[in-house]
Amino acid sequence: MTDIEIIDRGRGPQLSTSRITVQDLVPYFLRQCGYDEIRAAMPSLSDEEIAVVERYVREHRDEVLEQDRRIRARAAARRKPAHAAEDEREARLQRLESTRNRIRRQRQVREP
Amino acid sequence: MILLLADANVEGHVQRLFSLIQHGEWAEFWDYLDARILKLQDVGLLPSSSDGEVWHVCQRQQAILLTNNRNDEGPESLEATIRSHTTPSSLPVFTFGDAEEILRDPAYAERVVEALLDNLLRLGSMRGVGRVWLP
Repeated sequence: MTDIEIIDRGRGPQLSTSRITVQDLVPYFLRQCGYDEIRAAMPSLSDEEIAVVERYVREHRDEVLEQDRRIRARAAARRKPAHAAEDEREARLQRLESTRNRIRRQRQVREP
Repeated sequence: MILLLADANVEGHVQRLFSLIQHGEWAEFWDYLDARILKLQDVGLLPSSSDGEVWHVCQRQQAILLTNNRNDEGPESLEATIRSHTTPSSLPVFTFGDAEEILRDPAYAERVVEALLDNLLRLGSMRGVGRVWLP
């Protein structure tokens, strides 16, 4: 059986047996999710793999939380202001509606 | 046909989106796109494959990677791979802005579905852009 370890391949600490990183699981641990909830998000994880990450988070808590803070700051910086996001969504919905009408017209031509 | 590869860190999230699409008003778009969801093993990747391997397999097999972005942006990262290897014909990587919220907030999940379908329908103009954020 392969030993499950936390390694670093230049993308942050991750499982040796999976592409899933420690930081992928941190939000779930911070919300105190159970293993079943974590597996609903990442079904390929075994209990053993989740336990290895959980232990790593416990033993490196400050470092992990600091990294989580940086990730959240990066995401917040990328996020558009609410009004811009809403305008973008409105344009997207209009494009989708227009495409929906086109799809339906094409279907009517094929299946009169 | 459009192939979508669910990264290991978002398999459950992608399944939730697929369920929303199938049971909602979006199913006709999915059928029109003839879209298929794949897992890593479906394209010959291992659970532990590197970001570079995943990106290159996606390009070779013309599959769009769906992933999260909570990783470092070091030299072996997906971000570094995208920056180094994207050409004008490369397929983009679709990255969830907040993957966790897909499972927690149905309204957010709906917005992700809208963004996903809108981008898939405009895929021709998305080549070479590197990364597309959903939403």
